[in-house]
Amino acid sequence: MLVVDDDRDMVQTLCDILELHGWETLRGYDGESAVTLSEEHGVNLLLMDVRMPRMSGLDAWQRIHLRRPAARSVLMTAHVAPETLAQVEGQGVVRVLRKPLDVPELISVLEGARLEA
Amino acid sequence: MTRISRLSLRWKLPGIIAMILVAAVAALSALALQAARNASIELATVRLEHAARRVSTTASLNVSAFVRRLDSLSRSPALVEALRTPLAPLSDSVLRALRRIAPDSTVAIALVDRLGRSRGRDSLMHREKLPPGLGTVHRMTISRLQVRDQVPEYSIVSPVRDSGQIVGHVVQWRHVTRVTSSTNLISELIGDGAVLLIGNADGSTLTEMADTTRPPVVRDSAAAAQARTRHIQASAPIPGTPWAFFVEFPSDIVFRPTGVLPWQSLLLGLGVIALAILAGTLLSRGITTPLIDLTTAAESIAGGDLTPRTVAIERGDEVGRLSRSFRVMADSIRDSRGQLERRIEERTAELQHALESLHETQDELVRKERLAMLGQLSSSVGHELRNPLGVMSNAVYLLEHTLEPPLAPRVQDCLRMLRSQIHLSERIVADLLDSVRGRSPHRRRVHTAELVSEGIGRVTVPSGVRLDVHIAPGLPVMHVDPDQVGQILVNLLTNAVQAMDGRAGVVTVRASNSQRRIRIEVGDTGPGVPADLSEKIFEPLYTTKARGIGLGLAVSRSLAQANGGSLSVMNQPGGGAVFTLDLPLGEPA
Repeated sequence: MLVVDDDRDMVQTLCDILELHGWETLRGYDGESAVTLSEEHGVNLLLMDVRMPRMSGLDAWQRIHLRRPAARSVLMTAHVAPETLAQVEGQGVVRVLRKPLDVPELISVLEGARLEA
Repeated sequence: MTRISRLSLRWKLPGIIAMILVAAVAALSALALQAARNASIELATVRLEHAARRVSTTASLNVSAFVRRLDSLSRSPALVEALRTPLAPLSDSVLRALRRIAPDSTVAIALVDRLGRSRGRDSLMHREKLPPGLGTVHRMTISRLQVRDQVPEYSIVSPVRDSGQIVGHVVQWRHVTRVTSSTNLISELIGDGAVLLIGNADGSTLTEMADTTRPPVVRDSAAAAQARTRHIQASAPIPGTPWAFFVEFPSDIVFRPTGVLPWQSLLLGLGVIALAILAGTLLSRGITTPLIDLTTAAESIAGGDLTPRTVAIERGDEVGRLSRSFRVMADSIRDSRGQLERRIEERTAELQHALESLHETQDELVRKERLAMLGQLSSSVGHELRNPLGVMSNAVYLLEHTLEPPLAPRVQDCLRMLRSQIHLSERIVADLLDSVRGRSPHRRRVHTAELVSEGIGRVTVPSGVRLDVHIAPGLPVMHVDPDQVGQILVNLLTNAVQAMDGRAGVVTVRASNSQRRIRIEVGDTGPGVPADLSEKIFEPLYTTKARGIGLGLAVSRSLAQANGGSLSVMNQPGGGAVFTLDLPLGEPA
């Protein structure tokens, strides 16, 4: 499981929570590293922020999805815009969650995604 | 440069008429005077001639008497005898006979023989100078008047015959004497002032018969000329003599009857002038009074008063026509000015309207601009806040799940507060982002009742507040963006609840429809909106609440307008405010 956010605290806390729930985590802090890391480690499941500097979460996910069509992701954003949803529809995005995340909801969504991946 | 007469027509006209009439009267008077004088002269001349003839006839009879007496003397045998004997002195009988025929007026008498010698030495008989050509006188001859020693006299020569042969002549010299009967006759015929004169028929040696001086004065040529200029003269020859009677009469007496004529003319003239001025004044008043009225009216129109004193001159003449034309003109000016004023008013109103709508548009643009800016700002801030909130929320979760129980009550309290405040912050951010979401509406047909119910369902109503909902049955569908209208409803309901400020009250929701609109009213029993703030509360960032950023109503109105509707507020009679949201009906399917 690769957790990507440009906010290091966010990545830290999320990883802690996921590890608490028994997940193995990798940490990324921007879109490019997300692409590289998922490639290097053969990651099949990502929790990634949409808005990030240099390369946005959406762009990064589109690249990853091209190379690894089986991979699945859960995206996070401060504001769930309808256009965002339309952009990633049918591209292996299991869900777009709004920040701040509701932990029980996050866990259940991720469980579902692991089954798909 | 044209000289402009300042004299009013009112005075000019009668003046001209008077002058013309005076000139006419003067000319006529002069002609009449002249004619009267001529007539007087003619009449007087006729009378004088008549008188002169009468006097001449009388005088002629007197002369005949002298002539007869002298003729009879010249035939007396004693005289013939005396001449037959030239050298013998004249006998007493002859002398007596000669003296007998000599009246007072006889200056001298002479007996002259054939050879021209005068006989006798008596003073009466003697005369130094005999008439020339005496020898050739064959019959009784009366001479022309002549002046001798400044006295007019004449001679009568009678030939003396003996058996047909002229043997000598008797010559008698006489003075011209005054004949009282003749002068009386003249006075009688002509009147006092008439003068009777005798003279030769050619007018020489004129002597005044009435002259009482002795000897009578013969008029010299200067006196004669003067007399001719001052008098009217007529003459009549005296038959049997080379003389004539002349009658003079002073012209001024002749002209006396005509003397009053100039005064009469003057009086007549004055009367005519008075009449002329009167007539002229009346005539000119008939013309100038309406002209003055018209002028006054025209001046008042020029001065801007379009309702001058009515110029009503009901006359059929040119002045009447002028007056009517003037009235028509004034009416037409008034009408066109009225039209102009109305048009200006209309245009002004249009401009005012355009200006107002421009202001409204400008205000609207400014408001939208501000809203858009605020929307962007709020959106950025909201997004940025959600990240730290997310981190904080994660951290709290971790704390709750990693701290070893049992947790100290104080720690539990702190965690609960953190969770609660994070949740509250998240709500604020969510509300903020919802309220400024500035996308264009996706309008579609929406069931009104469902939309209203859904909006009500999204608002948490505190226990003290009663919700009163009246949705008219069978409301038609609307043509709006349901998300945006839903947000308006949530805003209005939230405001209504907050207006109660924690006290008990009633929030009323009423949905109805008219021919073209759906009306949704949201009322509360709060303090209401002060009248001067009824527009202000729709401005962005304006708020009366202790908490809140003042975007709810501004955004609501903006959304209502974007959906073809409107949003306004009024105070209810029983207190509290009521917000009215009007929205368009759905287009016919």
